[in-house]
Amino acid sequence: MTETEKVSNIFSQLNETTITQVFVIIAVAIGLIVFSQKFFRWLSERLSGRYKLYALASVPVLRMIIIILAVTMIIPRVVEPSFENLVAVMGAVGLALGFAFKDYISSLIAGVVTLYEIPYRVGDWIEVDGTYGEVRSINMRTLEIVTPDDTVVVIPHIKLWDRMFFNANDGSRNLQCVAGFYLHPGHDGNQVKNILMDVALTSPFLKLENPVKVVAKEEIQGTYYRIRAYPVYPGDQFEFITDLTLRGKSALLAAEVKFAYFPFQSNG
Amino acid sequence: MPSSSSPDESAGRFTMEWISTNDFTLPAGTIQTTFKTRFLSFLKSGRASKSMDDTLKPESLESLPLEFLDHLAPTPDWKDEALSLDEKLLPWCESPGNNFVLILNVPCSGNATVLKYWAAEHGYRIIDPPNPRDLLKPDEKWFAQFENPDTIWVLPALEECWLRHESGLWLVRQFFRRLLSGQLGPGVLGCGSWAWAFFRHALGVSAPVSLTVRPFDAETLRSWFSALAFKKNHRKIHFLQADNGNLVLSCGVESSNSQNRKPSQKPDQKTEQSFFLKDLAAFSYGIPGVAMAYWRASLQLEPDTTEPENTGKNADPVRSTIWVKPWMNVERPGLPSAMKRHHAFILHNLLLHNTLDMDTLSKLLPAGHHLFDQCFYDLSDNGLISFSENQWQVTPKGYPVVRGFLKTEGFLSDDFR
Repeated sequence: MTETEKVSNIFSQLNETTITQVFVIIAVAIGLIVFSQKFFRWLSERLSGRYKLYALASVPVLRMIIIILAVTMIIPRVVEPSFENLVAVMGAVGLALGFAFKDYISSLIAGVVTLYEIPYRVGDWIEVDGTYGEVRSINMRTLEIVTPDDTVVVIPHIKLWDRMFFNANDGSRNLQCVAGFYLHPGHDGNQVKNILMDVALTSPFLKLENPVKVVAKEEIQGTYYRIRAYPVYPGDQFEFITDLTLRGKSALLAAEVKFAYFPFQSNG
Repeated sequence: MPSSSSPDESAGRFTMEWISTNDFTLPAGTIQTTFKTRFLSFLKSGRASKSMDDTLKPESLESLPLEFLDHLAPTPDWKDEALSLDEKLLPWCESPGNNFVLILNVPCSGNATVLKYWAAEHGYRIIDPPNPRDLLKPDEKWFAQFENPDTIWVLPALEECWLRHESGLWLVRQFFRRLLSGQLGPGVLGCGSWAWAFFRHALGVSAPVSLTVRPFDAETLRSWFSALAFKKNHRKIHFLQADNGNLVLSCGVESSNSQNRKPSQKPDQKTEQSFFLKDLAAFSYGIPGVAMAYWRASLQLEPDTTEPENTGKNADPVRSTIWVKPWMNVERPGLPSAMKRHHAFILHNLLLHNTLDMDTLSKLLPAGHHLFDQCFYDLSDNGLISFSENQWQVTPKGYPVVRGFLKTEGFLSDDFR
């Protein structure tokens, strides 16, 4: 048997019926994927808290399952399912992909890895290579995040291999925010700490069940105070920090605490 | 706990029961209604609310005129319930060495009013809350009311003595400092359950003894509604569920000519008991004010039987049947279709402080409160909040919806789960 005949034998079952079946399987798989995306998005709008996140996180997992099932159903229809045939086809496909789509395939594999390592989920706030935003969707090859400036950034999963991903809430609704104040060193530290604590406790954005901390550190610009607290909604982090900053500034000014001016100058 | 068949009820009396907050358990509803309500609420979420009443309301029934409604289901003034606190509080007051006892005021429960009446009845000092304008600056004048630590003081509503504002915690911090060190002498402290949850988390306070009124379950509601209806009306009245004629409750004494009842009204026959009150108790979290608001909204009458003068002892017995809407048909407020954070902030602040005027409330909201104007309209339009006597507050009918929403969204709620 010539090499050409061998190859044609591998695909010996490829007739009109088989091709129709393959197209039907692909169409059903695509239909299911689209339906699952829309359904889980609809479901997540009706859920809140962690259930919302679970619903959104189910989309990529379900999509992966559908694709695996579809491929499992297609291969025996296209290829004579003998060991030699499979090795030959996989080898040829692997070689072609290895040269032509190395990064693409690597991203796909990294995408599969993310499904069980779960370094990020839809709804998480992550930072990759200095870009910070909320994960909007996780696709097979890429993830999409939306920055606070409402810009969509597409990041290939391949970055997972050699980059650090910073996840601010890691699948939960607990996202710590920090509001900082540089004050002139000449002040009553306890008074400032109490003022900033009350500023945090009385913010309508605050998630009260989580701890609130006020920490201080002497720096060259002055005494640096930070309020560490959690908002009820992770998406409100910037409004929360703004609220803490504005009300903190107002309360400190009312208590006649001087702010530090860089370098080494006070407003007094 | 009083029951529907107790001698107290036939005499038109009702007694609230006060329990330790540790013994608090919410009344359970019927499984069918709980599932149906949650499923409908799930489907309706994210869309504008629509009353189910419009689709299911029986054409032949009408709402009660206000005068008649006040006759059958008067809004309670809580004065009669004041002495119900005696059993728990008088022994505490008489034993020496106590510091304070906490009465938790669940929204719309009337507990603060009961406490106020109780204090007045026994001649104890009632501590008035400070003016909201004075809460944003340190001022010790308010503590002058606590002088003479040898007699018991009663502060009915601590939630009116603070503001969730960076300058609004000073007074309450001072208060707890003095209270816990015993400087104020023995006293009874009433506090809103939402405000207390805030104080527990933010200030780390706790109470040695805390009481609240036992949640009104179906039997308690039956006794209470019967007693209230009996107050101004001693003839026999049957409250029947409109869709199936099941008996919700009956009160009063049978009149001599009660045989003239219409064929459609069969209270004398062996009627089945309605589950309306069980579902009402569960939905209202056992809070009497909430249950009463829904009870008043569910009463209906057949046309031409709405004359208040016909409710006297010699009234036609045909008019002694009041129809009660099926629980699933009772109109409930819905959440605004575009619910935002701002709505939640308004609602949470109102529950923390019970009532707030517009000026004060605007100080407690994040900067840019012009964004909130539409929210007030949305919430008010949906029946979740109301404006009365220059104060905003969550409505009794809106409270279960608001509580469920805030809890689901992750806001700190009271401890009565």
